[in-house]
Amino acid sequence: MKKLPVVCPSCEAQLQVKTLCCASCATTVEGDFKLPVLARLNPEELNFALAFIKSSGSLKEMSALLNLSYPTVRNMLDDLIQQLQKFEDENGKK
Amino acid sequence: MKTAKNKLITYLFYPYQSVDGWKAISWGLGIQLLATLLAYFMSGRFDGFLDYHLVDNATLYQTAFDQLINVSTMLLVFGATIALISRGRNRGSDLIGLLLIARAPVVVLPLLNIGDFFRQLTPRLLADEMALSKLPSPAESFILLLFSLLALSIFVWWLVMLFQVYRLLLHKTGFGYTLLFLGLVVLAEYISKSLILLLNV
Repeated sequence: MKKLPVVCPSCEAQLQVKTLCCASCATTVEGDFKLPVLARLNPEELNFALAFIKSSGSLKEMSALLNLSYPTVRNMLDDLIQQLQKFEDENGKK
Repeated sequence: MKTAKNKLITYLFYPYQSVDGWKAISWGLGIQLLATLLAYFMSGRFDGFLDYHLVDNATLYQTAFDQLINVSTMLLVFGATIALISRGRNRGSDLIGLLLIARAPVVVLPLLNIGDFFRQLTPRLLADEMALSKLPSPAESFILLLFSLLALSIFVWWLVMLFQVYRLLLHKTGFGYTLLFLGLVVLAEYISKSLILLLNV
Protein backbone atom coordinates (compact mmCIF):
# COMPACT_ATOMS: atom_id res chain seq x y z
CA MET A 1 0.00 0.00 0.00
CA LYS A 2 1.26 3.45 -0.92
CA LYS A 3 2.20 5.76 1.91
CA LEU A 4 -0.05 8.82 2.15
CA PRO A 5 2.14 11.93 1.89
CA VAL A 6 1.15 14.46 4.53
CA VAL A 7 3.99 16.97 4.25
CA CYS A 8 4.94 18.99 1.17
CA PRO A 9 8.21 17.64 -0.28
CA SER A 10 9.11 21.14 -1.42
CA CYS A 11 8.43 23.47 1.53
CA GLU A 12 7.49 20.90 4.24
CA ALA A 13 4.15 22.55 4.95
CA GLN A 14 1.14 20.39 5.74
CA LEU A 15 -0.58 19.02 2.62
CA GLN A 16 -4.35 19.30 2.16
CA VAL A 17 -6.80 17.23 0.13
CA LYS A 18 -7.75 18.94 -3.13
CA THR A 19 -9.55 16.18 -5.00
CA LEU A 20 -11.55 13.12 -3.94
CA CYS A 21 -12.46 10.48 -6.44
CA CYS A 22 -15.07 7.69 -6.43
CA ALA A 23 -13.35 4.42 -7.30
CA SER A 24 -16.66 3.01 -8.58
CA CYS A 25 -17.98 5.68 -11.01
CA ALA A 26 -14.97 8.00 -11.28
CA THR A 27 -16.88 11.04 -10.00
CA THR A 28 -14.47 13.59 -8.61
CA VAL A 29 -15.08 16.17 -5.92
CA GLU A 30 -12.79 19.16 -5.66
CA GLY A 31 -12.31 21.52 -2.77
CA ASP A 32 -9.97 22.35 0.11
CA PHE A 33 -10.17 19.65 2.75
CA LYS A 34 -7.91 19.46 5.76
CA LEU A 35 -6.41 16.06 6.56
CA PRO A 36 -7.94 14.58 9.71
CA VAL A 37 -5.46 14.46 12.59
CA LEU A 38 -5.25 10.65 12.55
CA ALA A 39 -4.26 10.71 8.87
CA ARG A 40 -1.31 12.94 9.74
CA LEU A 41 0.27 10.38 12.05
CA ASN A 42 3.25 8.39 10.77
CA PRO A 43 2.69 4.63 10.18
CA GLU A 44 4.13 3.61 13.58
CA GLU A 45 1.99 6.11 15.47
CA LEU A 46 -1.09 5.11 13.50
CA ASN A 47 -0.49 1.39 14.14
CA PHE A 48 -0.07 2.15 17.83
CA ALA A 49 -3.33 4.13 17.89
CA LEU A 50 -5.20 1.32 16.10
CA ALA A 51 -3.78 -1.35 18.42
CA PHE A 52 -4.75 0.80 21.40
CA ILE A 53 -8.35 1.08 20.19
CA LYS A 54 -8.51 -2.66 19.39
CA SER A 55 -7.33 -3.51 22.89
CA SER A 56 -10.16 -1.38 24.34
CA GLY A 57 -7.70 1.18 25.60
CA SER A 58 -5.96 -1.28 27.91
CA LEU A 59 -2.33 -0.32 28.41
CA LYS A 60 -1.73 -3.62 30.14
CA GLU A 61 -2.93 -5.49 27.05
CA MET A 62 -0.89 -3.21 24.80
CA SER A 63 2.15 -3.88 26.94
CA ALA A 64 1.74 -7.64 26.46
CA LEU A 65 1.00 -7.23 22.74
CA LEU A 66 4.07 -5.09 22.04
CA ASN A 67 6.27 -6.95 24.53
CA LEU A 68 7.18 -3.65 26.16
CA SER A 69 6.95 -2.56 29.77
CA TYR A 70 3.88 -0.69 31.00
CA PRO A 71 5.74 2.63 31.59
CA THR A 72 7.28 2.44 28.09
CA VAL A 73 3.83 1.98 26.53
CA ARG A 74 2.44 4.71 28.74
CA ASN A 75 5.14 7.11 27.48
CA MET A 76 4.39 6.14 23.86
CA LEU A 77 0.74 6.93 24.46
CA ASP A 78 1.59 10.27 26.08
CA ASP A 79 3.79 11.18 23.10
CA LEU A 80 0.94 10.26 20.75
CA ILE A 81 -1.55 12.37 22.73
CA GLN A 82 0.88 15.29 22.59
CA GLN A 83 1.28 14.85 18.83
CA LEU A 84 -2.50 14.72 18.28
CA GLN A 85 -2.93 17.81 20.44
CA LYS A 86 -0.33 19.62 18.35
CA PHE A 87 -2.12 18.65 15.11
CA GLU A 88 -5.49 19.74 16.53
CA ASP A 89 -4.02 23.09 17.57
CA GLU A 90 -2.54 23.57 14.10
CA ASN A 91 -5.87 22.68 12.45
CA GLY A 92 -7.68 25.04 14.80
CA LYS A 93 -5.40 27.96 13.92
CA LYS A 94 -5.94 27.59 10.17
CA MET B 1 12.12 -10.40 15.01
CA LYS B 2 14.64 -9.90 17.79
CA THR B 3 17.79 -12.01 17.63
CA ALA B 4 19.19 -13.68 20.74
CA LYS B 5 22.00 -11.09 20.78
CA ASN B 6 19.54 -8.20 20.65
CA LYS B 7 17.47 -9.80 23.41
CA LEU B 8 20.56 -10.15 25.60
CA ILE B 9 21.53 -6.50 24.98
CA THR B 10 17.97 -5.42 25.83
CA TYR B 11 17.92 -7.42 29.07
CA LEU B 12 21.38 -6.20 30.10
CA PHE B 13 21.16 -2.51 29.24
CA TYR B 14 17.46 -1.73 28.76
CA PRO B 15 15.59 -4.20 31.03
CA TYR B 16 13.11 -1.48 32.04
CA GLN B 17 11.78 -1.48 28.46
CA SER B 18 10.40 -4.98 28.73
CA VAL B 19 10.09 -5.83 32.44
CA ASP B 20 7.57 -4.13 34.72
CA GLY B 21 5.31 -4.50 37.77
CA TRP B 22 5.63 -7.47 40.08
CA LYS B 23 7.95 -9.27 37.69
CA ALA B 24 10.39 -6.35 38.01
CA ILE B 25 10.02 -6.38 41.81
CA SER B 26 10.73 -10.13 41.96
CA TRP B 27 13.78 -9.87 39.67
CA GLY B 28 15.00 -6.74 41.45
CA LEU B 29 14.74 -8.25 44.93
CA GLY B 30 16.31 -11.51 43.74
CA ILE B 31 19.28 -9.66 42.25
CA GLN B 32 19.77 -7.54 45.39
CA LEU B 33 19.68 -10.69 47.51
CA LEU B 34 22.28 -12.28 45.25
CA ALA B 35 24.43 -9.12 45.46
CA THR B 36 24.23 -9.26 49.26
CA LEU B 37 25.31 -12.91 49.40
CA LEU B 38 28.10 -12.37 46.87
CA ALA B 39 29.35 -9.33 48.81
CA TYR B 40 29.40 -11.37 52.03
CA PHE B 41 31.27 -14.30 50.48
CA MET B 42 33.71 -11.99 48.63
CA SER B 43 34.46 -9.94 51.81
CA GLY B 44 32.74 -6.75 50.67
CA ARG B 45 30.18 -4.27 51.95
CA PHE B 46 27.86 -1.95 50.06
CA ASP B 47 28.44 0.67 52.76
CA GLY B 48 26.63 3.52 51.01
CA PHE B 49 24.33 4.12 48.06
CA LEU B 50 27.36 4.63 45.80
CA ASP B 51 29.88 2.59 47.76
CA TYR B 52 31.39 -0.85 47.69
CA HIS B 53 34.41 -1.57 49.87
CA LEU B 54 36.40 -4.66 50.71
CA VAL B 55 36.56 -5.36 54.45
CA ASP B 56 38.16 -7.92 56.73
CA ASN B 57 35.38 -9.15 58.97
CA ALA B 58 31.91 -8.30 57.72
CA THR B 59 29.04 -10.36 59.08
CA LEU B 60 26.10 -11.43 56.93
CA TYR B 61 23.90 -9.23 59.12
CA GLN B 62 26.02 -6.14 58.34
CA THR B 63 26.11 -6.86 54.61
CA ALA B 64 22.36 -7.45 54.48
CA PHE B 65 21.55 -4.41 56.62
CA ASP B 66 23.74 -2.21 54.37
CA GLN B 67 21.76 -3.37 51.36
CA LEU B 68 18.47 -2.83 53.17
CA ILE B 69 19.46 0.77 53.95
CA ASN B 70 20.73 1.42 50.40
CA VAL B 71 17.63 0.00 48.72
CA SER B 72 15.23 1.71 51.15
CA THR B 73 17.02 5.05 50.70
CA MET B 74 16.89 4.72 46.91
CA LEU B 75 13.18 3.87 46.96
CA LEU B 76 12.44 6.69 49.38
CA VAL B 77 14.48 9.42 47.69
CA PHE B 78 13.86 8.55 44.02
CA GLY B 79 10.45 6.89 44.43
CA ALA B 80 8.98 9.77 46.44
CA THR B 81 10.39 12.44 44.11
CA ILE B 82 9.15 10.68 40.96
CA ALA B 83 5.73 10.02 42.52
CA LEU B 84 5.48 13.66 43.60
CA ILE B 85 6.41 15.09 40.21
CA SER B 86 4.51 12.61 38.05
CA ARG B 87 1.44 12.80 40.35
CA GLY B 88 0.07 9.25 40.21
CA ARG B 89 1.13 8.66 36.60
CA ASN B 90 3.00 5.45 37.49
CA ARG B 91 1.84 2.25 39.14
CA GLY B 92 3.50 1.66 42.51
CA SER B 93 4.78 -1.75 41.39
CA ASP B 94 6.51 -0.20 38.34
CA LEU B 95 8.08 2.51 40.46
CA ILE B 96 9.53 0.06 42.98
CA GLY B 97 10.32 -2.70 40.48
CA LEU B 98 12.14 -0.57 37.94
CA LEU B 99 14.21 1.23 40.58
CA LEU B 100 15.26 -2.17 41.95
CA ILE B 101 16.11 -3.36 38.45
CA ALA B 102 18.18 -0.19 37.88
CA ARG B 103 20.45 -1.23 40.77
CA ALA B 104 21.08 -4.65 39.21
CA PRO B 105 24.60 -3.90 37.83
CA VAL B 106 26.04 -3.71 41.38
CA VAL B 107 25.71 -7.50 41.55
CA VAL B 108 28.89 -7.73 39.45
CA LEU B 109 31.05 -5.68 41.86
CA PRO B 110 31.70 -8.44 44.44
CA LEU B 111 32.85 -10.75 41.65
CA LEU B 112 35.81 -8.46 40.95
CA ASN B 113 37.45 -9.73 44.17
CA ILE B 114 37.71 -13.29 42.93
CA GLY B 115 40.61 -15.05 44.65
CA ASP B 116 40.64 -12.34 47.34
CA PHE B 117 43.29 -10.55 45.25
CA PHE B 118 42.23 -6.98 46.04
CA ARG B 119 41.57 -7.45 49.73
CA GLN B 120 45.10 -8.79 50.16
CA LEU B 121 46.69 -6.14 47.94
CA THR B 122 44.95 -3.11 49.51
CA PRO B 123 46.73 -3.13 52.94
CA ARG B 124 50.08 -3.33 51.17
CA LEU B 125 49.24 -0.32 48.99
CA LEU B 126 47.95 1.66 51.93
CA ALA B 127 50.85 0.84 54.25
CA ASP B 128 52.64 3.79 55.83
CA GLU B 129 56.05 2.66 54.73
CA MET B 130 56.15 2.20 51.00
CA ALA B 131 59.13 -0.08 50.71
CA LEU B 132 60.14 -1.17 47.22
CA SER B 133 59.23 -4.75 48.06
CA LYS B 134 55.68 -3.66 48.89
CA LEU B 135 55.05 -2.04 45.52
CA PRO B 136 52.80 -4.05 43.23
CA SER B 137 54.50 -6.02 40.50
CA PRO B 138 53.83 -5.11 36.83
CA ALA B 139 51.37 -8.01 36.63
CA GLU B 140 49.61 -6.86 39.80
CA SER B 141 49.55 -3.27 38.52
CA PHE B 142 47.97 -4.42 35.26
CA ILE B 143 45.28 -6.42 37.07
CA LEU B 144 44.69 -3.49 39.43
CA LEU B 145 44.25 -1.06 36.54
CA LEU B 146 42.04 -3.45 34.56
CA PHE B 147 39.74 -4.24 37.47
CA SER B 148 39.60 -0.59 38.58
CA LEU B 149 38.39 0.34 35.11
CA LEU B 150 35.88 -2.53 35.27
CA ALA B 151 34.59 -1.35 38.66
CA LEU B 152 34.29 2.21 37.36
CA SER B 153 32.41 0.96 34.27
CA ILE B 154 29.98 -0.95 36.48
CA PHE B 155 29.26 2.19 38.53
CA VAL B 156 28.71 4.18 35.33
CA TRP B 157 26.47 1.41 33.92
CA TRP B 158 24.43 1.46 37.14
CA LEU B 159 24.06 5.26 37.25
CA VAL B 160 23.15 5.42 33.54
CA MET B 161 20.50 2.74 34.08
CA LEU B 162 19.15 4.59 37.13
CA PHE B 163 18.98 7.80 35.07
CA GLN B 164 17.14 6.01 32.26
CA VAL B 165 14.61 4.56 34.70
CA TYR B 166 14.19 8.00 36.30
CA ARG B 167 13.51 9.55 32.85
CA LEU B 168 11.16 6.74 31.84
CA LEU B 169 9.08 7.09 34.99
CA LEU B 170 9.06 10.90 34.91
CA HIS B 171 8.70 11.19 31.13
CA LYS B 172 10.10 14.69 31.26
CA THR B 173 13.20 16.13 29.65
CA GLY B 174 15.29 19.19 30.34
CA PHE B 175 18.46 20.22 32.09
CA GLY B 176 16.57 20.92 35.33
CA TYR B 177 15.53 17.28 35.64
CA THR B 178 19.11 16.13 35.00
CA LEU B 179 20.32 18.43 37.77
CA LEU B 180 17.58 17.12 40.03
CA PHE B 181 18.75 13.56 39.32
CA LEU B 182 22.31 14.44 40.32
CA GLY B 183 20.99 16.09 43.47
CA LEU B 184 18.98 12.98 44.34
CA VAL B 185 22.05 10.77 43.88
CA VAL B 186 24.03 12.95 46.30
CA LEU B 187 21.11 13.03 48.76
CA ALA B 188 20.69 9.24 48.63
CA GLU B 189 24.43 8.78 49.21
CA TYR B 190 24.38 11.19 52.16
CA ILE B 191 21.33 9.58 53.81
CA SER B 192 22.45 5.99 53.26
CA LYS B 193 26.02 6.64 54.41
CA SER B 194 24.78 8.47 57.53
CA LEU B 195 22.33 5.69 58.39
CA ILE B 196 24.95 2.98 57.90
CA LEU B 197 27.42 4.87 60.10
CA LEU B 198 24.76 5.43 62.75
CA LEU B 199 23.00 2.07 62.75
CA ASN B 200 25.26 -0.50 61.13
CA VAL B 201 28.92 0.22 61.89
